[in-house]
Amino acid sequence: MILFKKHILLFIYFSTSIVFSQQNFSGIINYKSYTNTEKIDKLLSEKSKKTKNKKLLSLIKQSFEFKKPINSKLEFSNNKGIFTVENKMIRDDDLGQSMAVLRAGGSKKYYYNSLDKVYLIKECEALGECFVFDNTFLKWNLTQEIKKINGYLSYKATRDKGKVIAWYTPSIPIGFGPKGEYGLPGLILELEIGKIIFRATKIILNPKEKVVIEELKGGKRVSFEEYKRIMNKAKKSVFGN
Amino acid sequence: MNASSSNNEEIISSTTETVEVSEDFGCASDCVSASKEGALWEVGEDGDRSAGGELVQAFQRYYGACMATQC
Repeated sequence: MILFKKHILLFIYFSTSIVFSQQNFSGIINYKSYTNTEKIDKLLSEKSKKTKNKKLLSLIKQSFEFKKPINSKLEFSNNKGIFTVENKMIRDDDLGQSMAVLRAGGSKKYYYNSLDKVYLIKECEALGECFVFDNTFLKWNLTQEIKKINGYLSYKATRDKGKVIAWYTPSIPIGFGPKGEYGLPGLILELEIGKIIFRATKIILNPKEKVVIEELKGGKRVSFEEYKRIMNKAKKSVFGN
Repeated sequence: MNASSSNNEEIISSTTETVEVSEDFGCASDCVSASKEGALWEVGEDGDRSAGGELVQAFQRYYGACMATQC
């Protein structure tokens, strides 16, 4: 039965892929990300029991004080895409707001190219220098759990021992999603990652205005391992070994 | 006599400054340790694609906020 369902899923994916690949398939997906309050309440309560550091507890609580959703956008065209977070009005002195933006992806740019299998992240903030590094592939576990999101039949997939949960729809055969997530047989409409949840709020397919996906420009191009080494060095100077 | 009096004043002034600096370091040091722990808690269990970049950025934000609001 499970095998039969998987065949149906693959059939939907490939048949819609054929329809969409015959034209210049493009789109703009608007997401809003929210704090996963249920998870945060649990984590905060656990942390409060474990530590007596008042400064730490105060900072953590402060970091969740910003309640408004954070807007982000995935644009795609011809099997290429880019995901960015709207961060023009961010107040650096507001920890809640700046952390909410960081959790959603911050100032990073996530680039997707499923044709050439090139997935990149551009990051300019951590060390005050721009780096472009490979966004490594992470293995998803597909499940048969379904729900409707914005009218689209969506399937549940998980990775990292169930810590990351994505709901994707094979009806829109673009294997991209928020915050650099990719590799599923359909667009991610909902994503539970870390302490936040992304929800697609507006889906515009083949908009009148042409969507142009530009390659990432500028920044030092490094491999994922090299970037990790650079970050580890920076981490050691602050966090020790 | 005058010169000696002037020297004493300088010593008192210098001692006061040393005490103030020492207090500042205490708060900043508390902020460093709270921000370290906060940043680790922030990204600790997430399936992070950013290879540690988010940890460094979380630390920077926590530390900035700590110094601004608690020191």
